[in-house]
Amino acid sequence: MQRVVSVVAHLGFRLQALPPALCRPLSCAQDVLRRTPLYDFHLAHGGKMVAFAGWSLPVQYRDSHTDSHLHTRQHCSLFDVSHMLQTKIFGSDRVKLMESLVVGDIAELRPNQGTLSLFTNEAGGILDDLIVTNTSEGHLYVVSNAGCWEKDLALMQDKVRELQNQGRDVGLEVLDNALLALQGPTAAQVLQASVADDLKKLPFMTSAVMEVFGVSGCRVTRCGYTGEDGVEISVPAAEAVHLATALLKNPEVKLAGLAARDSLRLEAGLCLYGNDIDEHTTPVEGSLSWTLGKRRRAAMDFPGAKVIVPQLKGKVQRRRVGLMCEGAPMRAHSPILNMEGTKIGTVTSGCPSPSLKKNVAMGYVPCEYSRPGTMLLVEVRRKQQMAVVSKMPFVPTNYYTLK
Amino acid sequence: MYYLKVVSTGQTQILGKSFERNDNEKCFLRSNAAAFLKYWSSVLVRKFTEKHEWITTENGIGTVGISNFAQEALGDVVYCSLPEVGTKLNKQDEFGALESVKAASELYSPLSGEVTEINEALAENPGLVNKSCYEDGKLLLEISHS
Repeated sequence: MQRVVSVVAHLGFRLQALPPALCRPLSCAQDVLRRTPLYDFHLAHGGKMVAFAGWSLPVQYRDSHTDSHLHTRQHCSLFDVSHMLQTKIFGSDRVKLMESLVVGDIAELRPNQGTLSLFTNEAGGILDDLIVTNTSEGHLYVVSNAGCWEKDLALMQDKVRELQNQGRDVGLEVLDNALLALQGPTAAQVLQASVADDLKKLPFMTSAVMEVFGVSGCRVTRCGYTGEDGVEISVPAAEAVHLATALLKNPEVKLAGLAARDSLRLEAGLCLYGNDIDEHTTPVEGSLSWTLGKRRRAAMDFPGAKVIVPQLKGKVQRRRVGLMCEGAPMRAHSPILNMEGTKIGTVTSGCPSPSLKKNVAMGYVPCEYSRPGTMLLVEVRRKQQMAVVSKMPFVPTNYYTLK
Repeated sequence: MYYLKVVSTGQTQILGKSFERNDNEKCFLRSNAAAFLKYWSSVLVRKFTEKHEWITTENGIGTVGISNFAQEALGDVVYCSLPEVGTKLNKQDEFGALESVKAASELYSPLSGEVTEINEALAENPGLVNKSCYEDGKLLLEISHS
């Protein structure tokens, strides 16, 4: 879409295409976009490529954005998310390292259990959101955002060096794997046909290494960014095309790109780092207090604990809420007003919801306006529209849990 | 058959006339000048702006829409924000916007005039802009004041 934007912008037709995180300008040192192992595969399937966080990725394929989104909710879609940073932290002090950087109770993770966590800074701001999995192979498997690649890697590598200098046993390895996300109500059924392991025994936020379509050494994690049941498959780069091709043979599966990925995650109430949370948001403001480990809160032993923990009992200036409205869609940077017309906050992400046929958004408002059902105004195209604070997820999630 | 080449810089060109070597053609060539001129004036001339709106004018009333290139770039239109009937616009004034799931695009008036009619069908069915950007998905009618 950005290539389309630049072409049409030249011709005077302006598009507010993608959230700022997706339009981050490339650094001078990087004129060339990185390519995933599926780059040619995307082109061959009609992928419209755009620049995202320094990578060339498909924003959509031949189907429309709406069709692709709805297909994911009704069948399943395959996303190439290889741009995300995958790291292995190993050594007997790996948990100590991880806990020195994130807010969660990593030591309490059961074997092969993962969790969403946050890198924070001393001011209590969120540096990135990530998934940490305690593998039974003797390492922590970490997946974090492409947009924070250099920042996160430097953060982890500096801490590794610091601990090694103290005589600690810890190391880090960046994984050169592709990462494929298969998401939707029929994702598990599609995958089951290609693996010997019983996927009914792999609940939400657990991980296992298995052979998929004859490719051994694939890490399959029951997680995703759509609110649907699904998996992310970390596969050796050389086998990525074979795996994607094999999955696509199933008529349930269609390819989906960044456009559908964004509208799906927004319907699911999931944050996009850089839009909904950033270094100036604390976990409490971001309505992510649940990521703060119980033991960690008491010990106050994570970066920014001195700022964050008091916020749990006291007040925060603002909170992230969901908003719904009809009429024109709310978009990032739209002002949020109270019913008296005073600006009280800003929208951080928004789009028309293909599933709900209404407009959904996330934004920050002061605590007194954050209760679901509160009526507010959002300024869209110089007009004020009624909006209502809504619980998230906007669309019910379908995570596979063993209850 | 007259072929119109439509270019994106606000001009149209009549490229030429094709000939079918059959009896119909002979009839046409033999028709009188008045019939020829009547045929000529009914040929649709669609002009395009730099901002990918198109306008066709008949008797001083312009019909405005967006081009096929624009509707493809935008994706599925989910909301059309159009002005009220009676709104007076100067050429290049922003008069509304089209929204897709992913993008929003402002609309600019190709002429100075007054909005006489908006396409009400777009409120219920904004997808018409994608399906039929030159016919059912047209945006509005504007009477020229210049």
